[in-house]
Amino acid sequence: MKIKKIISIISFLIVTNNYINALPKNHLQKAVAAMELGLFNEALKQIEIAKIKNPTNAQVFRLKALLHEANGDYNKAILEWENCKQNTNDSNLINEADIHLKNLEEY
Amino acid sequence: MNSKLLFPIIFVFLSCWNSPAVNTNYNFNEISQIKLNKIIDFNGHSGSGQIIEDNIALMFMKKGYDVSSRKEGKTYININNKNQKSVTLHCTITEYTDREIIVIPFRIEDRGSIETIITQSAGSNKNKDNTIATTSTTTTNDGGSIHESGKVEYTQARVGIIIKIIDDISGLLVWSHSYWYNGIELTRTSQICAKNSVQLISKLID
Repeated sequence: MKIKKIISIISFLIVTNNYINALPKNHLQKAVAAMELGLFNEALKQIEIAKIKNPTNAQVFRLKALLHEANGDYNKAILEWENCKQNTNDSNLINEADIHLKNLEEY
Repeated sequence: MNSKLLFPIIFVFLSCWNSPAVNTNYNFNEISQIKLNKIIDFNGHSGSGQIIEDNIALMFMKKGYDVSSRKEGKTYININNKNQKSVTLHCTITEYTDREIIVIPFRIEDRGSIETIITQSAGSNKNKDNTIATTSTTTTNDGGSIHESGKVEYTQARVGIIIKIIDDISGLLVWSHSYWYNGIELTRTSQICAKNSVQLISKLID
């Protein structure tokens, strides 16, 4: 009986540990998890916190711009694409930002 | 080649590479009807052709053109009845995915901490009038650390199309353009992709 109890406690701890490890640890991971669930506003909140530690990360601006676009906040999306362009030297990313800006300026 | 000439040539090439190819001798104002050819599905995405086709038809309707669908399954966009020329619009889907992986590298920053412990004790002397107060302070300073190794992955949608306009009588390719768009949702991304392509075509025929 004691062995059975010990085994069940150990397996419970393993399952709990796996669950805790699977949870997003930082705000960027939380933002992506929320985005994949379709919770765009929650994703934007988490990105705003993540941006404090990554203030010049162009990919963070890019994700934020895509979320604003999905939400229909076109002016905010334009601002984020502009920020994305300012913080990168990657020509592909600049080209992508230009395509989005051209589309958004028509709204 | 002279390096002074090379730079302007590269600049002109890069600034124009994404613009449509147009046959400048063709009079687009004489087009009376655009026939939209059946769009073939992108590899492994059944229904993708129909989605793009419907979006193109929808965008032409939004622009105010008469759109009709006939028995053979083709869609016709009527520009006006005065002109004689008719063209066929061929569209090929080059990309259609909602599984494009994007990596965000991020900085893990431990800003460190300063811990100060103040201990105060009051000791009494034999002489009751004098009391000695002892204060000791211990400060622990942790400098923290910065790692650049973190990354987060997410998937996004990306739709790409190539559009060709061919004159029905001469078979001449008169206009061609490739376009792509990306976003979080596949349906919206394919809609924007179609919208922006139709926008360029309507500028030609208006």
